[in-house]
Amino acid sequence: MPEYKEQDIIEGCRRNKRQHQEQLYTRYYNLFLKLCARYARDMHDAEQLMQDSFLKIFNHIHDYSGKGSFEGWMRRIVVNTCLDYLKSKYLKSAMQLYFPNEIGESATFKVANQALDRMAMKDILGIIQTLPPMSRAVFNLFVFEGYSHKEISVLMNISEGTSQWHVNNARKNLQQKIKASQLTETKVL
Amino acid sequence: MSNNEFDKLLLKKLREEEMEYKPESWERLSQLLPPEMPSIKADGNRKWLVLTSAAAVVAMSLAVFFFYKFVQNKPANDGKAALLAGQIIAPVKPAPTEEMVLHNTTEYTPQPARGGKTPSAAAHVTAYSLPTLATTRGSTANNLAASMNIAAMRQKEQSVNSNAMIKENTGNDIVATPAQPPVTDKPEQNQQLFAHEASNLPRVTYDNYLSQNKNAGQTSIGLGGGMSYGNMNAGYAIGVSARTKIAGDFFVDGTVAMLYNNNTSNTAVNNGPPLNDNSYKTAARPESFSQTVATPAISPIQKLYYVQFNPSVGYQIDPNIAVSVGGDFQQMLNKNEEIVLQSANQAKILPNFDIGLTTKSEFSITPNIQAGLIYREGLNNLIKNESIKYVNRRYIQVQFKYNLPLN
Repeated sequence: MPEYKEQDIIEGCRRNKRQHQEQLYTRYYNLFLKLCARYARDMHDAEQLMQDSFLKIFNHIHDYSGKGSFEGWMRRIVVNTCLDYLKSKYLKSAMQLYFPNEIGESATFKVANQALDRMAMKDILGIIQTLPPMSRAVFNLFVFEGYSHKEISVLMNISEGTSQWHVNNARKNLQQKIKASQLTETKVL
Repeated sequence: MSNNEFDKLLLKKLREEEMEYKPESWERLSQLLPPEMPSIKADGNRKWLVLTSAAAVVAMSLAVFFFYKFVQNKPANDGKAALLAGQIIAPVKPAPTEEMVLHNTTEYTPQPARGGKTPSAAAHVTAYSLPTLATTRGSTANNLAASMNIAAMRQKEQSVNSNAMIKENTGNDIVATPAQPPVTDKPEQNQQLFAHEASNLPRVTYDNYLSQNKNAGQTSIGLGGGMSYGNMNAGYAIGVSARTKIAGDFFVDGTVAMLYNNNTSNTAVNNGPPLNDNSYKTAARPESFSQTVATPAISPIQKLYYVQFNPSVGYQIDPNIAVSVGGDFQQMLNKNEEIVLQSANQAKILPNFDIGLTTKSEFSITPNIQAGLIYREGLNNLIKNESIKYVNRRYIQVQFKYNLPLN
């Protein structure tokens, strides 16, 4: 398959050209699957979210005005699809009134960072997926998408303070889990 | 963006590694996508753009040519114009003097002094021509009364009623006329004076007036606006038009307008399927998609703006009614590319450059205000490319126009 320029891919996708659509899919498969995996509960859900996102992108590509980054436009669709998924009825109950136990400050972040450095991406994603849905969403938006707490508060309909709380707790939770997984590995060895 | 070391390390780790690509994922997705559309030849669009531009230039050139040939070079005072001028300009004429009445002239020309060759014994008074009277009612009412009084006075003084004598006394100034009844004190008898003269002079009738009105205003510009109702084009238009007569009752008309279309019928399509629509069967968890959440990144196409050029050739059926037919060329302004509208079975293209045909009937409400009804049919499917399905922007437009005659 020839390598098309981004503008050619957009044009081809507007006309439902399979070659162009496939090239767009393969080009952004990795990026978007990882993005979805951070929001999803498991890899199966992540793949389904990615498929939904691509379907929306292909069906609405004529709405892309050409202003701004095309990747940014697609990324917003993917993030919104993931947020829709998290806001859905199925996970709503899990999101409400879920406050995990405060994690003690005793955890040594340095150890966690060293452990993280040695971990594989899939394992890291697996740990992220174990976070409570709301904390996972807020942490993803803040750390990976670069949203501010103010933007997150509007998007998720929570206060800025709650957004900060979710980020801190998600971080502590992750660090503790990473450290724990590292200890388990050491014991096994 | 987080400045936390842990967050930065997390980002770095997730960027470093890649996910394994699964070709079967694409296979599954491609089955859910709408069918491919045939490609449009780029040359085709360009060719039509050039052709339509050339047609527009030719139409404008013809309009300018005919404008100068039939309007600018036309003699200023032909028969009708002279007649019209004589009738319409008459109100500025001063009240007739005694000399004017006696010299039987409707033109105001300085007369010699009273001591000159003035027909002192003129007994016969020829009345004003009827057209003058008819068209200068305001000022001639007094003039007529004055002339009647003068004539009556003269008649009392001299009691002469002979054509021969008139001829003798007035010399060349008075043209010999058939025997006329004398002016008397009785108004009913005096009316015969005018009846005789009127029969030999051109009359201004309502038909004449309409005929003159029909030919008047060879070129005009108009400012107009309208509302469209159609399959997908409820909207508004505002524009400027220029019209000039080319031959007889035929005219050419060119309109440049801005169009706003509220593309309401496609809003649902462009909003995309709701997340709980089971027909797509792509939800990660079907039950999880029972709540429809708007996706801010996707904006529906609702408002389309066009600039329109509508050259046409028409025929003035009646002073108040005209019909015309012409091409219609519309360039979309707010989108650079052709818009593909998806639907369940097929996709259609909303052309960026839209070619159509218009038929128009116009009715003059007043000499300056016209109401028009336009029907537009899109021609893209016929002339651009047979294999592409274009959206036919078919609509009816109700239009009102204010005309400003240039001549």
